Formats: sequence, C-alpha cells, structure tokens
Amino acid sequence: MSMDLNLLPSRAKFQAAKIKLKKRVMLFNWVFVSFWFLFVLVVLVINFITKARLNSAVKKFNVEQTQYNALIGDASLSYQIKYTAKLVGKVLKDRFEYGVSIKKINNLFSSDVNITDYQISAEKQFILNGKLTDGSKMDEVEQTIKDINSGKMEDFASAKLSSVVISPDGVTWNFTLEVNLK
Amino acid sequence: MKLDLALPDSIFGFETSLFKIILLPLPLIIGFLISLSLVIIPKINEINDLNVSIASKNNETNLIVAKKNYLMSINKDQLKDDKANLQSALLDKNKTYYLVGVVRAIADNYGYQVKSFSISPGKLKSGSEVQIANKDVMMRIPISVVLVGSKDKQLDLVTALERSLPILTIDRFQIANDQSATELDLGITAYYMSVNQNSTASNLSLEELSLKKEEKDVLSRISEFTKVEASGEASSTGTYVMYQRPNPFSL
Repeated sequence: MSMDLNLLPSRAKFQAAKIKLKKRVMLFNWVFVSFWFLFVLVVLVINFITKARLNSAVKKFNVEQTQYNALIGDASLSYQIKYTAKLVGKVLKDRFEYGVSIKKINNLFSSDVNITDYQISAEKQFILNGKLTDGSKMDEVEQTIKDINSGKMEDFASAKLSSVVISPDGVTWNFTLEVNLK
Repeated sequence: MKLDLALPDSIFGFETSLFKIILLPLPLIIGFLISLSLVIIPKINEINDLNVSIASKNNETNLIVAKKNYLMSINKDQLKDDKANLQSALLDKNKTYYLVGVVRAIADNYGYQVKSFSISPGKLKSGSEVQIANKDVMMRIPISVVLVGSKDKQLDLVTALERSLPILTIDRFQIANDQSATELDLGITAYYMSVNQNSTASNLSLEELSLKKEEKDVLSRISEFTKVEASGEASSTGTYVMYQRPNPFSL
C-alpha cells in the first residue's frame, strides 16, 4: 500500500494544506524581514564607514594644507620666478642677437679672405666688404656663396656677390657680398 | 481595540481565511517599499555623495602633497639665485637714465664712449609691451645711443650688451667704420614689469609652481649673463635737512 495515501476527509485535508501554506507564508515573512533589516543595517554601516572615511580624508587634507601653508612663501616665489622666467624667455627668444650673427659672419671665410668691413642693412642681412691679395682666393668666396645658396651652410639663407673690383695692378681684389642669415 | 471586519466566508469562491494568509506579507512589502524610499535610497545616495567627496578630497590632498613635495625638493639657495638673476634681468620701473648708465658701464669695459644718447622712444620694432596670454605685463624702455671706440672691440661690445643683466635687446644696429675706430648707432631696449603678478599661492597648481624645461633653460642662460650696475644713480634715500638761512627779501 502506498504511503502517500491520505485518508483524511477533504475538509481536514484543506485545513492541513492551509496550515502548511500559513507556515510557508510566515517563513517567507521572517526571511523577508531578516533580509530587510540586514539590508538596512548594511546600508547604515556603509554610510557610517563612508562618513568616517570622509572625516579621515578631511583631517589628512587639513594636515597637508597646514604643512603646505608653512611653505607658502616658497610657493609664491616659485610662481613669480616661473612667471618672470616665461617673460624673459619670450624676450630672449624673440630678439635678434647681433653678436651671434656677427660671429657667424666672421667665421664665414678662412683667414685667407680678409673681411675689411661690414654693414647690417636689415635684420639678418649683412653686406660684407672683403679684400684679397691673391686672386686665386676668390675661388673660396665663390665656393662659399655656392654652398650657402645650395643650403649646405645651415645658419645662412642666401648670398649674392654684389661687386668685384680688381686693382689696376691686378693684385688686389675688393668684393662686396650680401649675406642673409636664416 | 481589535478591528473585526465582517467578511463573508468566501470571496470569489475562495475562502476568506485563505485570502488572509496570502495577504499576510502585503504590509511587510508596503513597509519595505516605504523604508526603501525614505531611508534606504536616500542613504545609498548619501553614500555615493560621500564617496565623491572622499575622491575629491583625496585628489586635493594628492595635489597639495605633490606641491609640498616639490617645494621641499627645491634648492632654496638656487631659488634665491634665480630670483636675484630675474630681478637683475628686468628693471623695477621705467628708469631710462639708469639704462643709459648701464650701457655706459658696459661700453667703458671695452674702451667705448657714449657719444650721444636719446631717450625718445622713436619707432619700436614691435609694440611697447611684451604680452603673454594677451596680457600686457612687460613694458619696453627704448633708448638710442651712439658709441665710439675701437673697431677690434666691436664684437666684444655687442656680445657684452646682449649678455648682460638687465637684459638688453638691440633693435637697431648701424655701423660707421673709420680706419681703426667705429661708431655704433644702436637702438637698445630694456624691460620692466608693468603689472605685479600676485596670485594666491594656495590656489596655485603644481604646473604653475614647477619650472618647465624652457624656463629652466632661461634661468640657466641668464645666470651666465653679467650683472651690470650703473654707477652714479641718484639715490632716493636720505634725510631731510633744514638749513636756517635768513629770507633775503625780508631784510
């Protein structure tokens, strides 16, 4: 005979099912309430911990701020130095340095080519007057002009021979050269 | 007082007592929903806000620690030297005659003499201000000066002018050469700060405090320049002396 056989009358069976359902509902209620309170508790604990973390962060910030305030004089000085250095840097960057340019012009030729005089006709534009006692040295002048115009000399943009005057005895060569710097 | 509702034995064919059992969790669910909207969600939002505040505060702390560490790592002597060099690089006000004195002092070192000078600004190569980020912060002080001296020392003089503190910019350069002497007609500009840059140091960012490579290069470069002081500058300090002289008109 099967053990599942229920010999209770139908009303009694219904009552038993109702009691069983009530137990389950009560169990659900307990579980629900437990989770509810647990959830609330967890949220409140996290909230409390977060507030404590914020307080700690604020305290740490205040400590660092106090230490930084002790160095405020250096901070102000550093800022002024940076700011002024930026301005001075702009001035130095923008200005044309004649000293450097003149040095470049002076080093343009070897000692065989004598630069007697120069004029600065415009910024970065030099007019050189040179003198050669040996006509063959004119090759160096011509080669230099060629090198400048072909871009082989990085500081110079262009060069042009304006005039060449040879003395009546054919010994002295005077030339005028226009050189543009980059 | 217990509220007894007179309910029928069955509702829609179901037993009322069964309904009561099924509806038992309803007040709990309603209570949970109310607590969710009144307590739980506001608290969760508060936690989120607090986390944002913590992140922000930690960020501020990190920035301030970085600034503090930077300031503590700076060589104080170097800072003083840089300050002194920059103070020498710029004039503190529009002192044109002092500038002429500076040029004269440099020229003297190379045997040059000031033949003439003019403090009228003339036409400047660019505007009268040096601007950064569209702010007029540095004013130019232009002078014209004619120097006469040895031709051999010409390059040395020009180099010295360009490597001196206060910083001098040669705007105009004209040479008239003789056999051994040379006459340099120069337009020279010096600079002074027109606006005092004050900023609340506590609000400065690390970027505003720390020097970039270009700025370090500038400081390194000007540290190699020669500081020049103009001699004979009129002193603004002194004590007032009242001389007891009779009034000649009252005699």
